[in-house]
Amino acid sequence: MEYVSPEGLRLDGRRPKELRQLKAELGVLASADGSAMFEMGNTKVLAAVFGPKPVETRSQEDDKRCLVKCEYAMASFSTGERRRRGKGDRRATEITKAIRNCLEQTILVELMPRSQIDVYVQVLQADGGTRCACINAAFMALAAAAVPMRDILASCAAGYLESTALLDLNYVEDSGGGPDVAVAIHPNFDDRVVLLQQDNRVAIETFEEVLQLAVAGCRAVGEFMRQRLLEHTDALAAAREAGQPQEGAADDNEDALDEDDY
Amino acid sequence: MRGVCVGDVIEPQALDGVLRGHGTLLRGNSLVASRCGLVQRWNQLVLVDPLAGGYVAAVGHVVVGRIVQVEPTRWLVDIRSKTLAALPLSTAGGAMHKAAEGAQSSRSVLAEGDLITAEVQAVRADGHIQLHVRDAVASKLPPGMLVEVPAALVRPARKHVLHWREAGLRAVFGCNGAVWIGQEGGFSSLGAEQLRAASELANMVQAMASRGEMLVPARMHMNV
Repeated sequence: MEYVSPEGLRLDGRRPKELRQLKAELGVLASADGSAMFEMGNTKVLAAVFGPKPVETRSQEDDKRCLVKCEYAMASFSTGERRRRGKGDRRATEITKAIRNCLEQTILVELMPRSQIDVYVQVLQADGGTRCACINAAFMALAAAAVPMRDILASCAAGYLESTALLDLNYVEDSGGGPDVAVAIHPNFDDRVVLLQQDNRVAIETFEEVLQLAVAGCRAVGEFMRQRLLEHTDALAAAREAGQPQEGAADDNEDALDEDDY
Repeated sequence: MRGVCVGDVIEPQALDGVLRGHGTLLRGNSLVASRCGLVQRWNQLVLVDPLAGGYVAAVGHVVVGRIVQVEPTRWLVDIRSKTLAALPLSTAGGAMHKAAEGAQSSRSVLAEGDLITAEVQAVRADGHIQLHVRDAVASKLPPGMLVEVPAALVRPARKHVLHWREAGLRAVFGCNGAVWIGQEGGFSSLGAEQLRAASELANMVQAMASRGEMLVPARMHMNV
């Protein structure tokens, strides 16, 4: 199969160093403390955050830091070929741990001793790069829940096919047999790498090039998420402004404080 | 007031003349936001007001909570905060001293599942929240309705209890966003008229919360 045409276009019409279209929506679930829907092209992920709240199992309580619990699941309708895939299989367990590891490095866990944060990520549509989309969605949901964090957590993958470094592989390119390097960074912390995973082997010179491309992709994703979060903050601020009681009318008709009123 | 995102630089030179408030952290010389929200400045203090997220306990807040565990010396109370709050027997008022002396068990005063109204007495850096009630028996709320709204919508005020004497109802607006509506005094069951009035008030609270309107008990009086 030809992954890059002579004109330099990929199967879905992108240039080699082009991201897929990004979309993000915040506050999609009313019951969660923070939630986000994140789309990278046809990959669509829903993340929900509950907490910080008291730990459920007292034996896991930590006096120094909060507990981060993570659950990753893929909907059975998310892939082209329908199959039953829950949260129990090995692939899901591995991705769960990768996501939790990234989040633990990002959340200021020592600020919330003796509490717990639950993060649920659900893949609704899978088209390559699900773990990166999951990390981005989880970060946005955490930000929407106002959980204190070190920095933006931005993730993106890159690969190498037909002697070309390709950014943000889709499913077809992902199954092309080349290397797939998933990276997550803290963009404002000198692009500190939080996650680096790779399948298939790659020459060291090529690896350097692919990694640089993935990091550049992460930075672009991070800037996109930053813009969306700022818009969300502005919308919340406007809503709060609209809900403020009018000046003057408030406190003058208060009854005297009863003895039992506290 | 300026909106910031996680990781944004608030103050490039923050080594002196700036006090680091909630929602900020130091990265090298600069003050950086650790959560999304609005930057607020009070003299030298710089903080990020989050606009979202759960309840953060502060001293003096009136809260409505649920007993989740009874221990020999204290009750543990879920007040929708990051950690469980403790209500020690010793701060639980005169009736409790008898219980502490073993005259009656603390579970007979407050048991798991009971709703109480209390005041936050202390918040320690390690996450411990201590509650205070003047009378443990009187702090227990009779059966009623509990409406949960975003905590940011109930600000600390002089008055957190709304008396609706015509209907014989009482509503407690907790700073933690838990609003209890029930009978004024006594533990008898509500009549049909009272139930109707209580659910009307509950619906009103929910409608106001869904529009993001602040819930000010002193002003609700005029509305009912």
